[in-house]
Parts: sequence; C-alpha cells; structure tokens
Amino acid sequence: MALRFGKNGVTVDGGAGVEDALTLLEYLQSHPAAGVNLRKCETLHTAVLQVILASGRTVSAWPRDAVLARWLRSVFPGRPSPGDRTEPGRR
Amino acid sequence: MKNAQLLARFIGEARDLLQGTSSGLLQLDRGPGDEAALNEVFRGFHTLKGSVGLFDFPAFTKLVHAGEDILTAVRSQDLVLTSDLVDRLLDALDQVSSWVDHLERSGEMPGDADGVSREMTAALRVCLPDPPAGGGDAPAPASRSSVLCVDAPWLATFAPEEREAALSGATASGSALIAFDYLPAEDCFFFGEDPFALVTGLPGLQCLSVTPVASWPAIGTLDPYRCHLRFRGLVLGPSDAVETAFRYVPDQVAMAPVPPGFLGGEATGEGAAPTVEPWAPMARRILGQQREVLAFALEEDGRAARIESVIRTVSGLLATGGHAARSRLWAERTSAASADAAAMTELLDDWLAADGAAAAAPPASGEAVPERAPDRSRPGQADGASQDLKPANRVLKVDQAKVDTLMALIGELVVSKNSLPFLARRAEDIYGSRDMSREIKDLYGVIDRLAQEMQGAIMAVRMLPVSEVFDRLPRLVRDLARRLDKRISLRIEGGDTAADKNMIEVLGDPLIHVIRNAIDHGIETPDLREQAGKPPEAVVRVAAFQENDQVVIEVSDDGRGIDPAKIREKAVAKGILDAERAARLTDQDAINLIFYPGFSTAPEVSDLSGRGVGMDIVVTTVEAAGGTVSVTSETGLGTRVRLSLPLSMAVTRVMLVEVGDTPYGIPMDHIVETVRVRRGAVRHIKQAEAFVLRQSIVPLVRLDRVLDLPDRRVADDPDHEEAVLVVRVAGSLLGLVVDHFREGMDIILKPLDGILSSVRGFAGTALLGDGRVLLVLNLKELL
Repeated sequence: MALRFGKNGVTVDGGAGVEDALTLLEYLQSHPAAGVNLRKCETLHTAVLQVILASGRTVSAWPRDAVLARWLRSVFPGRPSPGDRTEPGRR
Repeated sequence: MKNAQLLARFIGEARDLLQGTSSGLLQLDRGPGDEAALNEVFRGFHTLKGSVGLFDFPAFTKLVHAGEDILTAVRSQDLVLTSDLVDRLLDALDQVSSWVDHLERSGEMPGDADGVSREMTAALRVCLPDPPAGGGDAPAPASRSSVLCVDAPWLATFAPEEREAALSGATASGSALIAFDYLPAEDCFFFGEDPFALVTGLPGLQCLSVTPVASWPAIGTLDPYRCHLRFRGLVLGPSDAVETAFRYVPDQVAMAPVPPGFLGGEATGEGAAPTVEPWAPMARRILGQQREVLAFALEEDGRAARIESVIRTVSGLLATGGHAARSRLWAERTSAASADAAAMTELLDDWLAADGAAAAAPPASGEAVPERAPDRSRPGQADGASQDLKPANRVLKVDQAKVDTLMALIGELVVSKNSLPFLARRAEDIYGSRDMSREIKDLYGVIDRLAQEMQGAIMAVRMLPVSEVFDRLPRLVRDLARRLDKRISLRIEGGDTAADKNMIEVLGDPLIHVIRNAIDHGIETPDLREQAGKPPEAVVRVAAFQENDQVVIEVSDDGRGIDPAKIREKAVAKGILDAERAARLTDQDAINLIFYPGFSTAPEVSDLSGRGVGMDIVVTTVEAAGGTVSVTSETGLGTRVRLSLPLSMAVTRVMLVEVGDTPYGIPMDHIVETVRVRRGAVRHIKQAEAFVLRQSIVPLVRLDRVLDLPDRRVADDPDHEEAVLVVRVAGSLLGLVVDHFREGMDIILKPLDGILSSVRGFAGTALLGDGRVLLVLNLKELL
C-alpha cells in the first residue's frame, strides 16, 4: 500500500498501483478538503491518476522524480498548487 | 526468475483460454448466429494476444492476431464463418496449444514456430474480405492504425511554449514529430494496461495532455476501474517506433505526422501547392495496401467487390488530400476501363514510384485525412464484462501439490486425534483419574469435530465439475463425425456434477474411449440410419449425475446397438468360449463379453477405436479407481455405457476384523453382511468348505489360511460359532471366516510403495489411533 492517509491529505509514497484507486476514491469522498502529496511518489497508475483528476483536488507537492513531475504537471493544467512554486527550488 | 513465474501463469491462463475458445468455436459451428459464443471466441483470441505480448514470441502473437482479425470481420458481418473457417481457427488453436506445451517444457518457442506461424497466419488472412496488407508478413500494428487529422485546433491542446519546444526539438534532431491520440478502452485496467505509464514511457515524448473523455462525473459516481481518460501528445521519432510502443493497443490509437507549418504556434496557411505532391507516409502505405489488394483480386473470387472497394478507398484518399490532378486521373481511369484492375495497378505503381525519391524527405504535405476515431470500447467487452471479472479475481489458482500436502496433513491429524480416546482410557485405567479421562474425552470431541470439518473443507477444494472432462468432448465428436461422414449431435447433461479431482482425471481417458467406440462402432452412416427409419443425425448423450456416494457418467447413443449373436460368434471364433457355453449365455452376459481382454468386434482395425485396446482397458482403469462399468444395449436402438466412480477416493470406509490378534481392514463396499455360523453347519465338499445362507450355498474361506498365518489349534466343538463376513467379490458371494468383528472406520488409505509395492493382496495401509498399522485387504487380488 503506497498510500498514507492523514487528516488533511493523502501522501503517496512509492508506487501507487491500480489496487489503490478504490481506497483513494473512498478516502477522497469522505475527506472533501484533503489534498494529495505526491512528493515521494515514484510511479502512479492511470487509475489512481484518474481518481485524483476526477476529484479536482490540489496536488500539494510534485514528485521528486523529475520526469514523472513534468508529465504530471502537464496533466494538471492551470491548477494553482501551493507546492508548485516551492518545488523547483528543491531540485 | 520473475519472468519464469510470469510465464508459468501465462501458460495456465492460456490453457484455460484455449479451452474456452475452442468450445466457443464449436458452438459457433453449430449455430453461427450465436452472438455470445462469438464474443467469447473473440475475447479468447483477444486476451491471448494481449497476454502473449508480455513475452517476445512474435510467431505466437501474429497467429492469434490473425485469428482476432478474422473474428472482428465476422462480428462486423464482413465475413461469414464457414465450417472450413472454423477448421482453420481450430487448427490455429491447436498450434497455439502445442506451442504452449512447448513453452511449458522448455520456456521458449520451437525453432520452426516462425515458419509455421507465417503459413497459418497467411492461411487465415486470405479469408479476410480485405486483406490489410496481403499475406501475414505485414507488421501487425500497421493493419489497424488509424489516421488522425492534425490541425490547428487539435494542436491547441498544448501550450504554445510546449509546442515551440517540441518544434525546436524536431528540427534539432532531424526526426519527425508525430501526434497521437490514444483513447484507452474503458476496461483496459482489467488487462493490466497502464495508459499513463505507456504514454510517459514513450521515448521522445514532447507534449502530453490528459483529458476526461466526457466531463467528469460526480466524484461519488466515478467507477475507478474504468478508464475515462484520453491521452494526446506529440512525440519525436520515427513513426514505427511509436507504433511499436502502442503495438498492443493499435485499435485505440490514432497517429499522424505533424505538418511543420502548424508548429510555429499560428497556422501558416497552405502555401503554393507543388505540381506533384509527395505522399504522406500514411497515404503511401494506404496506396501500397490497395495495390496489394488488387494483386489479390486478380486471382480470387469476388474481385468485382474488391476492385470496387479499392476505387472507393483511393478516391477518398485523393479527395481529402488535395491531390486534384491525380483524383481526376483516377476517376478517368477507373470509369473508362470499367474497373480494369491492371490499369489501376499500373497507375498506383506510377504514383508510388514517382514518389520514391521524395519519400526519403521528412513528411511535409499539409494533407489531412478524415479522422477515424479509435475504437473506444473493446468489442466483445460489453458492460457486463467488468462485473464478470471482479468475482473472477476472487478465485485462487493453487498448485495441486499444495492442496495434496494440506490433505495429507489433515489425514495425519485425523489419525492422531484417534489416539486421544486411548489416552483417556489409560488415564482412567492406569492412573485412576476419571476426571482427567473425561476432560480428555471432551477435548477429543472438539478436535474430532474440527478435524471432520477440515476434512470436508479440503475435499470440497478438490472437487471439480465433470465439465472439466466434458469440455473436450464436443471437439472430439465433431472431428470424428467429420472424418467418418456421420452426423452426430452431442448432448451433454449434468456438467456441473462435482467429483474429486483424481476421479475426474481417472475418468478422462475411459470416457473418451467409450465415446469413440460409440461413434465408430455404434453409430451408422446417415444413409443406413435413414434406411432403418431413424433421423440421419445420431444423438450421443453424455450425462453425469450423483448417485449416493458415486458419480455416474452415462454415455448413450441411438446407433445400431450391440448384437449379442455377433458377440457370441466372435467369442467362439476367438476361442474365448466354446460354442455350447456361448449359446447358454444370456444376451446381457454376451454383451458383457466386450469387456473381455482383447475382444473387438470391428471387422477392421480402424485408427479410431479399434487399436487392439478394447473396452477391457476402460474396465481396468475404472475399477482400479474403485469404480464399475456396465453396458446395456438393444439391437437397433442403441447402447448405454455406465461408468460409476466413487466421489472421492481420499477417505475409505473399512470394517476392521481380527485374525490371530492382528486387525485387518476390509473395504466396506465389498461387505454384504456379517453372520455367525455354527461349526456344525459348515458343509465340507472335498477340501472346500461351504455353508447355507438363505437357501443358497456360500463357499467359505478362512482368512488365516489365505494370509498364510501360522496354523492354530481349532477346537472341534460343533457348537462353536464362526464369525463369517459375507462379501461380494467379482459378482459372487463368499464367506470369510475371521476371529472377531470389530468396528467400521474411516481411514486414509496409503498405498504400499517402494519395496512393498509388489506385494499382492493388500490395497494399502492406514495408521490406527493406538499407533498400530492396519493392513487393508484387496479381496479381489487375494482370493
């Protein structure tokens, strides 16, 4: 299980697989204000990505993996994310 | 290592798929309109293609792909599924199945696979109404690639700065920029696909946009297991590299080279059209394909329809591509020569040759071809499919050895728990503690119940439906019927009757043998049947049902039946009986002679059933597993063979008897009754002894003598009562004299093995609760 659920958001740590999609969906349904932290995310299955996209949640931090981060950013166009500005500085 | 596991899983899965697919095909052969069967067969080929893609077995992939294409054409009603086509598909499945066997043995494809695959693929593709690229050599993805209309609004999906970056990348590297539009099938997650990973893994990906197919549903109604995303992007590189990346989902991807004019951000307009426009690679390929179709049409039937289709395709291509001059020329040539294939071929050759030099240059034309939207839903994967798949995931595939180990362990537990009552008795007798004894007995009650439940549960795990065996039959019957020119309809009943896996395995070969016999010897040719006033199509009925603790399989046919007179003649001729005894046999007894070793009534040895192995093999196999075979027949009306097997052979019920202080087990199914016989009532007939039981004479055998136990002093008291166990061995009654009767019990029979396996007369051993070994007798061998 690559997902860690907190009160204010969910952290994806490592690789999130298709089996995580339903858990994540249920969590996001029950936590309407939760954000998604992808900093430690290494791979993200389409099904999980789809849940995040469909939920319209903010991504609070982009993955450290530059390639993954780049494509994920282009997938979430025009969504202001607080972590977005700080992230480039980290690299 | 991981790969080997993956391969092992693939092999198991492929076998299941092959089985299901070929039975689906047979169903289609009987009723070509059967849509469910068609979907099943299509899904079989499709899934096989998908899973074999995990490995590098191109021969395998190409063959199943060709099969899938055929079925696609059948589904879209472009092609009629004839018996001949079913034969070819079945041949393809057989080939695939032999490859799967080879993969299991050696982990790789046989050396001749490529050649075989090419031939079979070509044989399949010839049947396609519009061979995509003629023959089977075309790379599979090429046949399905859709074309995409790349224009300014489409490119506006990406941010201007991204587009510029992509353009400068393209000019710097000198490679073409390809646009793709990937609409994954809704159920793609169930096929292990991960579109986002696939797309981001594209080498040279420049821009990516992911959008929902429709607007997002409310979060509460989202089905996370269906893919609602559409992927669009620009990627650098030769188009075949991109095609390779999408090779498993060619029907879901549309791609086209990006005209450089659009990349600057603003569309630059058409510019001056050159007099001879070079062809875009896609158009080139389409023209090339059409040319090959023409080549085919020259020697095939239905050429008019094909030529018509070529004319339409090429006109469409020319009209949308702005090739005005060529379009006119084409129209002229096709109408004037009234579909002269040679003239058309010439023209296409001209165009393709003239363009030969220009083709090397990067694609430049701003021509756009109407977008053929990628096929959204995987055909055959109707909405129900995903619901079907979810429960399927709850099924575990477990190696049988693991289940067997578990069963053996449970067997040990059953035996060990039997020693608790002995312990309780010792606690009371030796240590004088009645309380302790009672506690042990209580505990024993609990463990006993648990052990029994465990035993029941493990038996249930090993139970399989007999359809495991029945699934092979339709194919067998169909093949035999076609070879022998007989018309046969097979009716299967009770396929869900369950029996122990071992029994199912034992059942397979005898059942096939019986059915072969019925078809070969029993069923007449259609004209003979009509002469006899029967419908030309014969019926073979295979029914399974449970009867007490036996599973019964009945094979009946409405053929000519077994003629007892012929059997008698044959038996006499073969020297099995003399004429006088043969004449005394009842008809049923005569029919039973077919079970006699070496008996075969077919005048000629055919390669089907009369292979020198007769029904006696069936009897031997079934009886070895503790079952029985019987046959009844009426001349002219048909034959019925009944195979009956125990539901499970894991637990054997025996009765314990004691001879000379040693317990012996006698299988319960032999035992008729127990009686006490006064010694004075035993009649001596020469050496033999017998007694009268309800007005019939029952021979008497002393178990101690049969077992060669040391002679004991027998008291001559005529009032002494002998304990006689009346058993039925090979159909006749027999009295076994033992010292004492003991209780009946369930045991787990362990066959004698190793150095003991040649000892005859014993079925095996079992452990008793007090640690003693129980020998279980095999009466048939012993007496």
